[in-house]
Amino acid sequence: MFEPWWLLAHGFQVALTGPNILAVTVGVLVGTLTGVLPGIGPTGAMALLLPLSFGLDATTGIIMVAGVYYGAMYGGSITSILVNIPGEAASVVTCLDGYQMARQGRAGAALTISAVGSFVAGTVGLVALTLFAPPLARAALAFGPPEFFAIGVLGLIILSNLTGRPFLESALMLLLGLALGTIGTDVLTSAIRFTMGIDELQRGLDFPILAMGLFGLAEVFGVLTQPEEKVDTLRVGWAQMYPTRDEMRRSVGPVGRGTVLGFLIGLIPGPAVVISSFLSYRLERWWSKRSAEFGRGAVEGVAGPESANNSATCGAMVPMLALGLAFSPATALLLSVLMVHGIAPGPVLMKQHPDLIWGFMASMYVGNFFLLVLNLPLVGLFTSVLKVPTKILMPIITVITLTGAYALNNSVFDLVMVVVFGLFGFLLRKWGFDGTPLAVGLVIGPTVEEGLRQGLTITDGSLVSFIQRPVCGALLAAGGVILLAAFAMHLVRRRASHRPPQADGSAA
Amino acid sequence: MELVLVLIPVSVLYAYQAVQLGIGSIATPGPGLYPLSLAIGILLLGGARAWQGWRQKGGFVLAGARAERRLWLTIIAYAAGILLYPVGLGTLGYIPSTIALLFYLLFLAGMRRVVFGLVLASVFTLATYGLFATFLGVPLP
Repeated sequence: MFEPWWLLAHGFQVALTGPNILAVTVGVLVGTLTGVLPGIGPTGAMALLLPLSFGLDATTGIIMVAGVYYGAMYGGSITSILVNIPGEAASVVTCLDGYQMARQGRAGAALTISAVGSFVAGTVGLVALTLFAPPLARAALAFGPPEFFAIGVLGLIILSNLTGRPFLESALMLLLGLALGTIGTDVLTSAIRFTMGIDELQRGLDFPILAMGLFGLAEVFGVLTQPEEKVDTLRVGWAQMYPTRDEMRRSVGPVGRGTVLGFLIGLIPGPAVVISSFLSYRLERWWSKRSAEFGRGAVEGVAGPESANNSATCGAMVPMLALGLAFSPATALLLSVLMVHGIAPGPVLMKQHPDLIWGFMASMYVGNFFLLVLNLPLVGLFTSVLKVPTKILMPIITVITLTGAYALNNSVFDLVMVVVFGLFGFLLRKWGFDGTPLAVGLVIGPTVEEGLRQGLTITDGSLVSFIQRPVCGALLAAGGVILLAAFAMHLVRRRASHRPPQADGSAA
Repeated sequence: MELVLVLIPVSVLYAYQAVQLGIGSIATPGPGLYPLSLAIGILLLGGARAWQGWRQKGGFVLAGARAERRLWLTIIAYAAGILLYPVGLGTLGYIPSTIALLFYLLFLAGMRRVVFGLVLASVFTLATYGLFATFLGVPLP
């Protein structure tokens, strides 16, 4: 029962060494600075800054990139509250009440509530992660290839239903990602597949390279093609940073509910962080006796979503740490830091690399604390980044990305691939597709294929045997139910949209 | 729609290569079985999406309005600069080629002050070199 806490205590010994404290500090500060920039969300920030981790050891590297992740999340909230521009998708709802609070002279209070809510939710989420990840990892040791196939398939089915895009488009992107995952040497037969005679492709597509292009360079292209807008930032005085007693009292419930909701949603594959903040806002609006205040500066509308999105980041790390599976680009990028350092993710990760995993988890407690104590006094510095013209920032970010892409394998080919994926990512956006299922498909694809082929070999080609295995059968059944439910909802919506309006003008 | 029109022939080619790799049997799947199933999936979903688009628009309408031409020229020039960068990296080394690239990208992004652009590109390149090569120990040419 106490084992996780002993291991976590050991993790703190790792996290509180000089290089790791420096890494988490740099990570949260640079992450916040990048997260402040509109258009560059946490995934983009991680992809752009991932190269900085290549020269570090695996533990320090993942600690820094994780710092960038939650730093960028917080950075997005700052611009939502002070400028009414969400730095990332999860902060969109924070604009609704955070900016209204700022206009009423309560910007400091909104920032403090956001920071404290994020800290509480992040810390409670980490406690839950500390408790849930080890038993799941132990259980996963008993899983065979069919179970991993089923986990992958279920995750991908859920993901393709939750991207916010039509199912057909998400599923198409997902299949494309899975297909890209087949490029390279087949691990089971050593056959060279789909390399078009290019030797560099024999090791497969590197996810960091894809991410730097798809989420990094594509973001740069996107920002460059937007007209530059003059940003008016609301000023915050140090004396205004304290919420009133009433504001604090009203925040307690939303923070608690947001924390629980966020963690649970975080366990679900897909854009959990974004979904959790929207659901938390809806929940608070429904729960509150002052629902009329929502959209006009309700403190609950800031506290709930900000807590939920931070807690969701911890929830998303449960399958990542316990199973070695990433169902979001952000967690895939964290895993790719390990892969760059030759560490294979999987259920044995916690057992084989306890220093790394528990050091990483402990560093997130430290990072949450740093975010709280460093970021509030430095709000003015972070918002000043918005005043640097994009015509200077974007080329500089591009050069950092290119240097890092080259540094990954000292390969010129990787630079070309970053540009190819950058252009592809930009085109996807222009055409209204979401790159997330593609990226997750690329990461999960090899696990799904290995699970399927090894499972078929073990069961002598019997798909029925897959269903007869309790865990595998349950997961596949859940996937089937979700697909049927999605199809039924599609039919209902379609029927409703085709129904003629009634005489009073309302839909029947 | 444009993506789907590209994906359909690509997935046919992908399916052909998957068959060449060997399908095997259901009990001993070959390296081509899984890719073939993906190719069939892409073809089916791509076909369905194309049909949906056709019905909604009454025909295929490809993007590429004239208003977007300037935007695309910037992106293509930006990408072309990056694609030429490896050539400079191999011949001139990291520092001169990165200064040249950064100056070019700054110019494309709208920075028209030549001296300031050159100074900025030089200072930032040296800082990046110091960060990667000296601090992080990454070998750069």
